[in-house]
Amino acid sequence: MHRHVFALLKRSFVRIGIAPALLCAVLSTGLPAYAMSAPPNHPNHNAPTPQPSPRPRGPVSPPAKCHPSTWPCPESLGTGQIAVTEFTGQYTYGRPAVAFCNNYYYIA
Amino acid sequence: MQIHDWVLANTGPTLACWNSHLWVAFTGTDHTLYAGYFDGSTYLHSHNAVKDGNTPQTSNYSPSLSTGYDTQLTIAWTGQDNNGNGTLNIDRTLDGVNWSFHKIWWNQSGPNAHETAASGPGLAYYCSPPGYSCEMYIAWVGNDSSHQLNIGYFLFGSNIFAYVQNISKQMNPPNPGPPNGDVRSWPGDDVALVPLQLKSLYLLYIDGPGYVTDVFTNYAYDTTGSWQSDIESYYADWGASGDIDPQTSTMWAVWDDGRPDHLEEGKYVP
Repeated sequence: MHRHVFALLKRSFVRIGIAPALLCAVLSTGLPAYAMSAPPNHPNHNAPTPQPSPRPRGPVSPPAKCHPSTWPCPESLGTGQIAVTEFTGQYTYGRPAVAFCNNYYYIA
Repeated sequence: MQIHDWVLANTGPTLACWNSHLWVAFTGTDHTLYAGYFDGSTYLHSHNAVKDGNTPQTSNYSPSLSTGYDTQLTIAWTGQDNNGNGTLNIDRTLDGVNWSFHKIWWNQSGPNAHETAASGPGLAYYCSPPGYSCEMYIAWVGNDSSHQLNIGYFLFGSNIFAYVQNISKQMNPPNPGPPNGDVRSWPGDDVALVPLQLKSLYLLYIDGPGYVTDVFTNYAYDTTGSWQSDIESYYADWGASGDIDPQTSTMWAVWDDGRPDHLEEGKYVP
Protein backbone atom coordinates (compact mmCIF):
# COMPACT_ATOMS: atom_id res chain seq x y z
CA MET A 1 0.00 0.00 0.00
CA HIS A 2 2.72 2.39 0.90
CA ARG A 3 4.48 1.70 -2.31
CA HIS A 4 1.26 2.34 -4.14
CA VAL A 5 1.01 5.71 -2.45
CA PHE A 6 4.57 6.43 -3.37
CA ALA A 7 3.83 5.58 -6.97
CA LEU A 8 0.84 7.89 -7.00
CA LEU A 9 2.90 10.68 -5.56
CA LYS A 10 5.54 10.23 -8.17
CA ARG A 11 3.02 9.96 -10.93
CA SER A 12 1.35 13.20 -10.08
CA PHE A 13 4.37 15.11 -8.99
CA VAL A 14 5.99 17.75 -11.14
CA ARG A 15 9.00 19.50 -9.74
CA ILE A 16 8.92 23.24 -10.30
CA GLY A 17 12.23 24.79 -9.56
CA ILE A 18 12.73 23.30 -6.09
CA ALA A 19 15.85 21.69 -4.77
CA PRO A 20 16.17 17.89 -4.86
CA ALA A 21 16.32 17.93 -1.08
CA LEU A 22 12.88 19.49 -0.97
CA LEU A 23 11.64 16.95 -3.46
CA CYS A 24 12.97 14.28 -1.16
CA ALA A 25 11.26 15.86 1.79
CA VAL A 26 7.95 16.07 -0.02
CA LEU A 27 8.06 12.49 -1.14
CA SER A 28 9.18 11.15 2.19
CA THR A 29 6.18 12.47 4.06
CA GLY A 30 4.30 9.55 5.50
CA LEU A 31 6.33 6.97 3.68
CA PRO A 32 8.11 3.96 5.13
CA ALA A 33 11.84 4.15 5.45
CA TYR A 34 12.49 1.84 2.55
CA ALA A 35 10.84 4.25 0.18
CA MET A 36 13.66 6.75 0.55
CA SER A 37 16.61 4.44 1.05
CA ALA A 38 17.92 1.50 -0.86
CA PRO A 39 15.80 -1.60 -0.34
CA PRO A 40 17.57 -4.41 1.53
CA ASN A 41 17.75 -6.71 -1.44
CA HIS A 42 18.90 -4.13 -3.90
CA PRO A 43 21.70 -5.63 -5.97
CA ASN A 44 23.68 -2.43 -6.16
CA HIS A 45 24.09 -2.17 -2.44
CA ASN A 46 24.54 -5.62 -1.09
CA ALA A 47 26.32 -7.68 -3.67
CA PRO A 48 30.07 -7.31 -3.07
CA THR A 49 30.79 -8.50 -6.56
CA PRO A 50 28.49 -8.80 -9.54
CA GLN A 51 26.71 -12.11 -9.54
CA PRO A 52 24.82 -13.88 -12.29
CA SER A 53 21.20 -12.97 -11.85
CA PRO A 54 18.60 -15.69 -11.34
CA ARG A 55 15.96 -13.45 -12.84
CA PRO A 56 14.05 -14.83 -15.76
CA ARG A 57 14.85 -13.75 -19.24
CA GLY A 58 12.11 -12.16 -21.28
CA PRO A 59 11.09 -11.59 -24.86
CA VAL A 60 11.90 -8.35 -26.60
CA SER A 61 9.15 -5.89 -25.80
CA PRO A 62 8.19 -4.16 -29.01
CA PRO A 63 7.63 -0.43 -28.93
CA ALA A 64 4.30 0.92 -27.80
CA LYS A 65 2.88 4.00 -29.44
CA CYS A 66 2.20 6.95 -27.22
CA HIS A 67 -1.38 7.15 -26.03
CA PRO A 68 -2.78 9.25 -23.17
CA SER A 69 -4.67 6.38 -21.58
CA THR A 70 -1.89 3.84 -21.76
CA TRP A 71 1.55 5.23 -22.44
CA PRO A 72 1.82 8.88 -21.41
CA CYS A 73 2.34 11.48 -24.08
CA PRO A 74 4.30 14.72 -23.72
CA GLU A 75 3.02 17.04 -21.06
CA SER A 76 3.38 20.74 -20.74
CA LEU A 77 6.44 21.20 -18.58
CA GLY A 78 8.38 24.37 -17.92
CA THR A 79 12.13 24.80 -17.94
CA GLY A 80 13.82 22.71 -15.29
CA GLN A 81 10.71 20.67 -14.58
CA ILE A 82 10.66 16.92 -14.25
CA ALA A 83 7.70 14.58 -14.38
CA VAL A 84 7.98 10.90 -13.55
CA THR A 85 5.50 8.21 -14.48
CA GLU A 86 5.39 4.61 -13.37
CA PHE A 87 4.06 2.18 -15.92
CA THR A 88 1.73 0.12 -13.81
CA GLY A 89 2.11 -3.58 -14.42
CA GLN A 90 5.11 -3.22 -16.71
CA TYR A 91 8.40 -4.74 -15.63
CA THR A 92 11.83 -4.93 -17.11
CA TYR A 93 14.89 -7.01 -16.35
CA GLY A 94 17.34 -4.86 -18.22
CA ARG A 95 17.88 -1.37 -19.54
CA PRO A 96 14.73 -0.20 -21.34
CA ALA A 97 14.90 2.13 -24.34
CA VAL A 98 12.99 5.05 -25.80
CA ALA A 99 13.03 6.79 -29.17
CA PHE A 100 11.10 9.35 -31.14
CA CYS A 101 10.44 8.24 -34.67
CA ASN A 102 7.95 9.31 -37.34
CA ASN A 103 6.09 11.53 -34.89
CA TYR A 104 5.65 8.72 -32.36
CA TYR A 105 7.26 8.07 -29.03
CA TYR A 106 8.37 4.48 -28.63
CA ILE A 107 9.47 2.52 -25.61
CA ALA A 108 10.91 -0.99 -25.70
CA MET B 1 2.64 -6.48 -28.39
CA GLN B 2 5.54 -8.85 -27.90
CA ILE B 3 8.16 -9.88 -30.36
CA HIS B 4 9.12 -13.42 -29.49
CA ASP B 5 12.80 -13.16 -29.62
CA TRP B 6 14.83 -13.64 -26.50
CA VAL B 7 17.08 -11.16 -24.84
CA LEU B 8 20.01 -11.96 -22.63
CA ALA B 9 19.02 -11.58 -18.99
CA ASN B 10 19.78 -8.22 -17.43
CA THR B 11 20.32 -6.56 -20.78
CA GLY B 12 17.89 -4.49 -22.80
CA PRO B 13 17.22 -3.22 -26.29
CA THR B 14 18.46 -0.02 -27.85
CA LEU B 15 16.41 2.04 -30.30
CA ALA B 16 17.21 4.46 -33.10
CA CYS B 17 15.12 6.18 -35.74
CA TRP B 18 16.98 5.58 -38.97
CA ASN B 19 15.84 5.74 -42.60
CA SER B 20 12.26 6.34 -41.44
CA HIS B 21 12.20 3.10 -39.49
CA LEU B 22 12.44 2.33 -35.81
CA TRP B 23 15.52 0.17 -35.46
CA VAL B 24 16.14 -2.03 -32.46
CA ALA B 25 19.31 -3.85 -31.49
CA PHE B 26 19.75 -6.20 -28.57
CA THR B 27 21.94 -8.92 -27.11
CA GLY B 28 20.43 -12.35 -27.57
CA THR B 29 20.59 -15.24 -25.15
CA ASP B 30 23.49 -16.58 -27.19
CA HIS B 31 25.25 -13.26 -26.48
CA THR B 32 25.08 -12.38 -30.17
CA LEU B 33 24.11 -8.84 -31.13
CA TYR B 34 21.04 -8.59 -33.34
CA ALA B 35 19.52 -5.69 -35.22
CA GLY B 36 16.24 -5.21 -37.01
CA TYR B 37 13.52 -2.68 -37.57
CA PHE B 38 9.95 -2.53 -36.41
CA ASP B 39 7.31 -2.72 -39.11
CA GLY B 40 4.74 -0.69 -37.20
CA SER B 41 2.60 -3.65 -36.21
CA THR B 42 4.08 -6.95 -35.14
CA TYR B 43 7.37 -7.90 -36.65
CA LEU B 44 11.02 -7.14 -36.77
CA HIS B 45 12.24 -6.81 -40.33
CA SER B 46 15.80 -7.24 -41.49
CA HIS B 47 16.46 -9.10 -38.26
CA ASN B 48 20.05 -10.20 -38.46
CA ALA B 49 23.12 -10.80 -36.36
CA VAL B 50 25.72 -8.07 -36.33
CA LYS B 51 28.70 -9.76 -37.94
CA ASP B 52 32.30 -8.99 -38.74
CA GLY B 53 32.60 -11.05 -41.88
CA ASN B 54 31.02 -14.33 -40.85
CA THR B 55 31.75 -13.88 -37.15
CA PRO B 56 28.82 -12.73 -35.01
CA GLN B 57 29.64 -9.99 -32.57
CA THR B 58 28.92 -10.84 -28.96
CA SER B 59 28.57 -9.13 -25.61
CA ASN B 60 27.45 -9.69 -22.04
CA TYR B 61 25.74 -6.32 -21.96
CA SER B 62 23.34 -4.11 -23.88
CA PRO B 63 24.51 -2.43 -27.09
CA SER B 64 23.77 1.17 -28.08
CA LEU B 65 22.70 2.54 -31.45
CA SER B 66 23.25 6.01 -32.84
CA THR B 67 22.63 7.86 -36.05
CA GLY B 68 24.39 10.98 -37.21
CA TYR B 69 27.72 11.86 -38.78
CA ASP B 70 26.52 10.45 -42.09
CA THR B 71 23.76 8.21 -43.37
CA GLN B 72 25.00 5.08 -41.62
CA LEU B 73 23.76 3.44 -38.46
CA THR B 74 26.37 2.96 -35.75
CA ILE B 75 26.37 0.39 -32.96
CA ALA B 76 28.65 0.25 -29.91
CA TRP B 77 29.11 -2.61 -27.48
CA THR B 78 31.37 -4.11 -24.86
CA GLY B 79 33.23 -7.20 -26.01
CA GLN B 80 33.41 -10.50 -24.15
CA ASP B 81 37.17 -10.48 -23.70
CA ASN B 82 38.70 -9.58 -20.33
CA ASN B 83 36.47 -12.11 -18.58
CA GLY B 84 33.39 -10.57 -20.09
CA ASN B 85 34.12 -6.97 -19.19
CA GLY B 86 35.78 -6.43 -22.49
CA THR B 87 37.03 -3.98 -25.04
CA LEU B 88 34.82 -1.28 -26.49
CA ASN B 89 33.75 -1.81 -30.08
CA ILE B 90 31.84 0.04 -32.77
CA ASP B 91 30.57 -1.01 -36.16
CA ARG B 92 28.54 0.68 -38.86
CA THR B 93 26.12 -0.28 -41.59
CA LEU B 94 24.56 1.26 -44.67
CA ASP B 95 21.70 -1.21 -44.95
CA GLY B 96 21.21 -2.68 -41.47
CA VAL B 97 22.36 -6.07 -42.69
CA ASN B 98 26.00 -5.73 -43.62
CA TRP B 99 28.32 -4.35 -40.98
CA SER B 100 31.74 -3.60 -42.36
CA PHE B 101 33.37 -0.92 -40.26
CA HIS B 102 34.34 -2.84 -37.14
CA LYS B 103 36.73 -0.89 -34.91
CA ILE B 104 38.09 -1.91 -31.54
CA TRP B 105 39.50 0.38 -28.87
CA TRP B 106 42.81 -1.31 -28.40
CA ASN B 107 46.37 -1.21 -29.67
CA GLN B 108 46.24 2.56 -30.03
CA SER B 109 49.03 4.91 -29.06
CA GLY B 110 49.11 6.98 -25.91
CA PRO B 111 47.93 6.44 -22.36
CA ASN B 112 44.45 5.25 -23.33
CA ALA B 113 45.53 2.70 -25.89
CA HIS B 114 43.05 0.09 -24.70
CA GLU B 115 39.69 0.75 -23.04
CA THR B 116 37.41 -1.84 -21.54
CA ALA B 117 34.02 -1.51 -19.90
CA ALA B 118 32.16 -3.14 -17.05
CA SER B 119 28.74 -2.68 -18.68
CA GLY B 120 27.10 -1.64 -21.91
CA PRO B 121 28.26 1.70 -23.32
CA GLY B 122 26.27 4.76 -24.28
CA LEU B 123 26.64 6.15 -27.79
CA ALA B 124 25.54 9.46 -29.28
CA TYR B 125 26.51 11.79 -32.06
CA TYR B 126 26.60 15.23 -30.50
CA CYS B 127 27.43 18.66 -31.86
CA SER B 128 28.61 21.20 -29.33
CA PRO B 129 27.70 24.88 -29.69
CA PRO B 130 29.30 26.85 -32.55
CA GLY B 131 33.06 26.82 -32.44
CA TYR B 132 33.21 23.25 -31.29
CA SER B 133 33.09 20.02 -33.17
CA CYS B 134 30.60 17.22 -33.71
CA GLU B 135 31.72 13.83 -32.45
CA MET B 136 30.44 10.29 -32.03
CA TYR B 137 30.71 10.08 -28.25
CA ILE B 138 30.93 6.87 -26.31
CA ALA B 139 30.55 6.64 -22.53
CA TRP B 140 31.22 3.66 -20.31
CA VAL B 141 31.65 2.29 -16.82
CA GLY B 142 35.30 1.59 -16.16
CA ASN B 143 36.85 -1.62 -14.90
CA ASP B 144 38.72 0.27 -12.21
CA SER B 145 37.96 -0.71 -8.63
CA SER B 146 35.41 2.08 -8.16
CA HIS B 147 33.86 1.73 -11.62
CA GLN B 148 34.09 5.35 -12.56
CA LEU B 149 32.45 6.88 -15.59
CA ASN B 150 34.41 7.73 -18.71
CA ILE B 151 33.78 9.38 -22.05
CA GLY B 152 35.57 9.46 -25.37
CA TYR B 153 34.68 9.62 -29.03
CA PHE B 154 35.46 7.96 -32.29
CA LEU B 155 37.49 10.10 -34.64
CA PHE B 156 36.28 9.45 -38.16
CA GLY B 157 38.92 9.85 -40.81
CA SER B 158 41.70 8.78 -38.51
CA ASN B 159 39.53 5.85 -37.43
CA ILE B 160 40.75 5.89 -33.87
CA PHE B 161 39.13 6.35 -30.51
CA ALA B 162 39.97 9.45 -28.50
CA TYR B 163 39.72 9.52 -24.73
CA VAL B 164 38.15 12.71 -23.36
CA GLN B 165 38.00 12.42 -19.61
CA ASN B 166 37.05 10.59 -16.48
CA ILE B 167 33.64 12.09 -15.85
CA SER B 168 33.64 11.13 -12.23
CA LYS B 169 36.24 13.79 -11.52
CA GLN B 170 34.57 16.57 -13.48
CA MET B 171 31.55 17.43 -11.39
CA ASN B 172 30.80 21.12 -11.12
CA PRO B 173 29.99 21.50 -8.33
CA PRO B 174 31.32 18.21 -6.96
CA ASN B 175 28.64 15.64 -6.45
CA PRO B 176 27.79 15.13 -2.80
CA GLY B 177 28.86 11.86 -1.30
CA PRO B 178 32.10 10.05 -0.58
CA PRO B 179 34.79 9.84 -1.58
CA ASN B 180 35.89 13.28 -2.65
CA GLY B 181 32.67 13.94 -4.44
CA ASP B 182 33.46 11.63 -7.30
CA VAL B 183 30.86 9.51 -8.98
CA ARG B 184 30.84 5.76 -9.29
CA SER B 185 28.66 3.45 -11.24
CA TRP B 186 28.11 -0.28 -10.98
CA PRO B 187 29.30 -3.16 -13.16
CA GLY B 188 26.56 -4.47 -15.36
CA ASP B 189 24.48 -1.31 -15.26
CA ASP B 190 24.34 0.06 -18.78
CA VAL B 191 24.72 3.77 -19.39
CA ALA B 192 23.25 5.99 -22.12
CA LEU B 193 24.14 9.26 -23.79
CA VAL B 194 21.36 11.59 -24.88
CA PRO B 195 22.29 14.51 -27.13
CA LEU B 196 20.40 17.78 -27.08
CA GLN B 197 22.21 19.16 -30.09
CA LEU B 198 24.16 22.39 -29.68
CA LYS B 199 23.26 22.58 -26.00
CA SER B 200 23.98 19.60 -23.77
CA LEU B 201 25.01 16.00 -23.83
CA TYR B 202 23.31 14.04 -21.06
CA LEU B 203 24.58 10.91 -19.42
CA LEU B 204 22.09 8.56 -17.82
CA TYR B 205 23.71 6.17 -15.42
CA ILE B 206 23.19 4.18 -12.27
CA ASP B 207 25.04 5.36 -9.23
CA GLY B 208 27.27 2.91 -7.45
CA PRO B 209 27.44 1.78 -3.85
CA GLY B 210 28.21 4.12 -1.04
CA TYR B 211 25.82 6.86 -1.94
CA VAL B 212 22.50 7.92 -0.56
CA THR B 213 20.50 6.51 -3.43
CA ASP B 214 20.87 4.55 -6.57
CA VAL B 215 20.06 6.97 -9.25
CA PHE B 216 18.70 7.52 -12.62
CA THR B 217 20.35 10.76 -13.35
CA ASN B 218 21.93 12.81 -16.02
CA TYR B 219 24.71 15.24 -16.47
CA ALA B 220 24.91 18.13 -18.81
CA TYR B 221 28.18 18.23 -20.63
CA ASP B 222 29.20 21.77 -21.41
CA THR B 223 31.83 23.09 -23.74
CA THR B 224 34.41 23.51 -21.01
CA GLY B 225 34.43 19.80 -20.42
CA SER B 226 32.82 20.00 -17.02
CA TRP B 227 29.70 18.14 -16.02
CA GLN B 228 26.95 19.53 -13.88
CA SER B 229 26.09 17.41 -10.92
CA ASP B 230 23.00 15.27 -10.91
CA ILE B 231 19.84 16.87 -12.17
CA GLU B 232 17.69 14.31 -10.43
CA SER B 233 17.96 10.89 -8.84
CA TYR B 234 15.64 7.91 -8.78
CA TYR B 235 16.00 4.28 -7.92
CA ALA B 236 17.09 2.11 -10.80
CA ASP B 237 18.73 -1.25 -11.31
CA TRP B 238 19.90 -2.23 -14.73
CA GLY B 239 20.39 1.02 -16.54
CA ALA B 240 18.62 3.96 -18.08
CA SER B 241 18.33 5.36 -21.56
CA GLY B 242 16.62 8.28 -23.21
CA ASP B 243 15.93 10.39 -26.24
CA ILE B 244 15.10 13.98 -27.07
CA ASP B 245 11.61 14.91 -28.26
CA PRO B 246 12.48 16.81 -31.45
CA GLN B 247 9.38 19.00 -31.21
CA THR B 248 9.75 20.17 -27.62
CA SER B 249 13.44 19.48 -26.87
CA THR B 250 12.22 17.61 -23.81
CA MET B 251 14.42 14.75 -22.67
CA TRP B 252 12.56 11.52 -22.08
CA ALA B 253 14.23 8.79 -20.08
CA VAL B 254 13.26 5.32 -18.99
CA TRP B 255 14.64 3.04 -16.31
CA ASP B 256 13.55 0.26 -14.01
CA ASP B 257 12.65 1.22 -10.50
CA GLY B 258 14.16 -1.90 -9.00
CA ARG B 259 11.38 -2.55 -6.48
CA PRO B 260 11.00 -4.85 -8.29
CA ASP B 261 11.86 -3.67 -11.74
CA HIS B 262 8.88 -1.44 -12.38
CA LEU B 263 9.25 0.43 -15.63
CA GLU B 264 9.43 4.16 -15.07
CA GLU B 265 9.68 7.12 -17.36
CA GLY B 266 10.87 10.64 -16.71
CA LYS B 267 10.55 13.77 -18.74
CA TYR B 268 12.87 16.69 -18.24
CA VAL B 269 12.75 20.13 -19.81
CA PRO B 270 16.29 21.51 -19.95
